[in-house]
Amino acid sequence: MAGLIKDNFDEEVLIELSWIMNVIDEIAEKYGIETYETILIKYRVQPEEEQCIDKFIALHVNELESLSIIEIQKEIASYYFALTKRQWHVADDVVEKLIKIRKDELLN
Amino acid sequence: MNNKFKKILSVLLGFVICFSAGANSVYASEISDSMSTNEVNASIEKNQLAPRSVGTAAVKNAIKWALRHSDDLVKSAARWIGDDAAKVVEKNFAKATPVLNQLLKYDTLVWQTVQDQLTHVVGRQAAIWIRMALEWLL
Repeated sequence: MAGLIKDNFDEEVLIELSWIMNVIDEIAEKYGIETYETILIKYRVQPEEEQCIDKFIALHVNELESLSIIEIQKEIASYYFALTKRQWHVADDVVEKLIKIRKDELLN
Repeated sequence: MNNKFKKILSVLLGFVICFSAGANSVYASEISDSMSTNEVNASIEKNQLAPRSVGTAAVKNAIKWALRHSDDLVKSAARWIGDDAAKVVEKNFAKATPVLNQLLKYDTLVWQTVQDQLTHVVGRQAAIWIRMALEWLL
């Protein structure tokens, strides 16, 4: 359990979190569980990345069907850059999967 | 002559900087005044995005505003997200209110906690819509 060495606390927590996420991956895969959060964990989507995807969904929920993945990625990338000053690199298929799952949750 | 010119230039630049700072603060104050009126004008610039870890204070301020202006929250949801969202927010906000009031007592609050706590009371779908409306429209 994290806390053995005070100076290493952050690293210990990150490592244990990684163990937990790997267990979730295995259980989700074994039982065919696919939810918004299991996808986030599976692809190790960072909170800031998810935040940008979430904002995009919130503001475009009624036009998701009509937008191409290129348009979607471009807009999300602009949010991400505004937030982090970094390049967006989450794959198309991950973004599409997250949007689909979230849309099904919200509109059904 | 050169020194005199430089002094004049620096004074002029100083005026320009002060004027633009003043203009910005007037603009900011106009925005905050208009945000405090009944109709939330979503002067959301779609490319402006604050980190979720903006701090507990920002999350709580959004919740406090929504508790006092739930009708405006619903109108904003209808305008900026859609009617589906607005209907869900309107139907469930009264049930969400006690939870939101409890969350104001938390020392540390992130949007994920708001969504998770609301889920127990209004269900996952409504919790997500309410959290989205609070997070992105305010």
